[in-house]
Amino acid sequence: MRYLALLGGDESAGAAAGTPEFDAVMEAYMRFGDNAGDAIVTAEALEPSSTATTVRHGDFEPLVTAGPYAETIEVLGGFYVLEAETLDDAIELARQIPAASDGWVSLRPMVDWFDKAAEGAGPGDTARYVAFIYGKETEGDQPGTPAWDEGLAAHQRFMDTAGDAVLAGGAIHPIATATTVQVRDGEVIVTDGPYAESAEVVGGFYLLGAADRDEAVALAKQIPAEAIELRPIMELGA
Amino acid sequence: MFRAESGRVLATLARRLGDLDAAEDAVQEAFVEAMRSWPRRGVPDNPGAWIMTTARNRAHDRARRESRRAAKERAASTLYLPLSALRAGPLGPGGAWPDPEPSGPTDPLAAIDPTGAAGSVGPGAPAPEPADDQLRLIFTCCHPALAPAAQVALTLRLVCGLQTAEIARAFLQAEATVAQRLVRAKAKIRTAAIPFRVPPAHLLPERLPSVLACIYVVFSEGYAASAGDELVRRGLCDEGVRLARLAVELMPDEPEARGLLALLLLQDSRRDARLSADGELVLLEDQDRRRWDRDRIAEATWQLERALLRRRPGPYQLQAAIAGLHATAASWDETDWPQIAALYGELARVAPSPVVELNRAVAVSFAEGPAAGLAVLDAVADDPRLARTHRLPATRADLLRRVGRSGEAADAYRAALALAGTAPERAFLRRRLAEVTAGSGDAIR
Repeated sequence: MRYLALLGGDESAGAAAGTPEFDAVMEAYMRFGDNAGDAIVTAEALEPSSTATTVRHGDFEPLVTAGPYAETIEVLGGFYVLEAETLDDAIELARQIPAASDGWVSLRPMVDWFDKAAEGAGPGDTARYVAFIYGKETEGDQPGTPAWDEGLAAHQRFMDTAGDAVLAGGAIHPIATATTVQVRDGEVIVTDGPYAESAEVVGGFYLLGAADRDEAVALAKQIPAEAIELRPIMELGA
Repeated sequence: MFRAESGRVLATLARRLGDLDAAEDAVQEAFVEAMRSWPRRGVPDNPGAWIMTTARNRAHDRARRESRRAAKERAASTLYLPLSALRAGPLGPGGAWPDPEPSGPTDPLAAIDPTGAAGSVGPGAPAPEPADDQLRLIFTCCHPALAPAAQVALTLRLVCGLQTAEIARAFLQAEATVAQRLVRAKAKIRTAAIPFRVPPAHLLPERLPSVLACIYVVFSEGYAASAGDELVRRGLCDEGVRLARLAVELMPDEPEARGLLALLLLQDSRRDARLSADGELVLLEDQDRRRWDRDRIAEATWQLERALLRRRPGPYQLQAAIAGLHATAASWDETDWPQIAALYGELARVAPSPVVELNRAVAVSFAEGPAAGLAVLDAVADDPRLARTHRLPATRADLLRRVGRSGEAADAYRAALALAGTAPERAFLRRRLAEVTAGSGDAIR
């Protein structure tokens, strides 16, 4: 079973890159990475939400705006794809993620997940962006329905068109299956539902390779979804 | 017997099948068949085993049908849970089935021992006792990743065997609302892979509270003197006590489970004495202590003593200890108030809440006088969590009345009346208001 772990928190409270505080946070994430080992399928940190671009599909031309999909204090800072047998095992992992202690981790069971890099495709010489799918949840977000199958076909067409620009991606189950994990005073707090219903990823996400923001926006415009939030990936390996 | 039996059979089937819906359907069908056949052929010698066998067979039939229909979708066969994750995709209505192998040693149904005694799952593996299955079921129903209201509904439906309509009546909700809640909760169990297991020991301290809280809600919903069918409410109290008993039976080493059972038994012992003939709330102070159920008090005392022996006190044991001091006092005046005030102090330490402070204020007022009680109350007077309950002004009014500040007491009674919910509570407050305003000239206001 795979879970998408969305990491959120108050960005303004976070440390800026290059400071000792930032390094300490990075070290905490490294420790989690060592502990979790193979349970981590993939992990990405995101550039601040001020670098986000949102694409909304309307009746005519898609509307492109600067900034995240939802203007909230608590924003996404990164994500993991975790491999765990049950939700309890996923919670055991999530509670160790530093974001659980100063923000939250939202666990979303995944319908599927693919990663072309894992399948042997070499990393292109491009910047990477994550495209989170947002919008109102519809019947098409319920796996197994005819509407879902239609959506799947539309996404397949997008992937065929985008070709190598799509690096990875995954579909997730509806918001009703979300579980929020927080750690406060050493105690783990598990609650039903996402941290904030109105600002929760719907449907899934893509990892895109693009030369620049304009190219990424052009790709996002083709994604069959109500709204897409594009976020540059923070390249930590560099 | 039906209800208790259905929870037991369901728990075992759910573990075997890895699917709550499938287990529920099979148990339901078995009971329908019992209704049809027992009146004609007589009740079998071991009705529980009969139900288990029949439910198992029904599940088997359906598995065969399903596996033919959905052979392509078959995931790897598995004997144990996770409840879901057996299929990559979601499950359509009624399609919730883990596709067991049609026959052979991996058939998850083959090893169910209809007598409920330990059989064998595979070579050398002893089957868990049915009691373990019930414990698993309770922990699944009360998983913190499910909303509290969903936990309560699931527990009543699956562990207690109540019908959806009965749960709706008990909680004064539309049947469709409860049905929807159950469907969503079961979908989450399946989709998010909430495991069907008792948490390992190191997780028990953080997982047990939601189980005990759920049992407490079942009981108190029945105990609260608010609106609703008296019979239904009584049934909920009985289910609450039964669940607490089950929790103790299944986890004899958990003092808080025993503490909860003692607490519920003690509250339940006063059930008949706390409402007057015309349905008015009778305060503990004025209750006829001869109407308290002495057997329940004796059992509670025994349970509480056993719990306290473990020297791991918690909120339920402390509340039970307080209720126990009330239950064993010969009269209101002979109650050991200093001890009760001290126990509330301890409770405030392990489980701080403004409501505990409110109760501590009352205990202190009897131990040290109303002025001391008012001082405790003043410290929580501005707590926003108490802003909407009538209990803060009502308690304050009572303490003011006892120190002779009638005018302020009357104001507080009026404030309490504006917030009080149930008819008996309102009637009581009106009576007290009349008392403090009588002859003071204040009544005209």
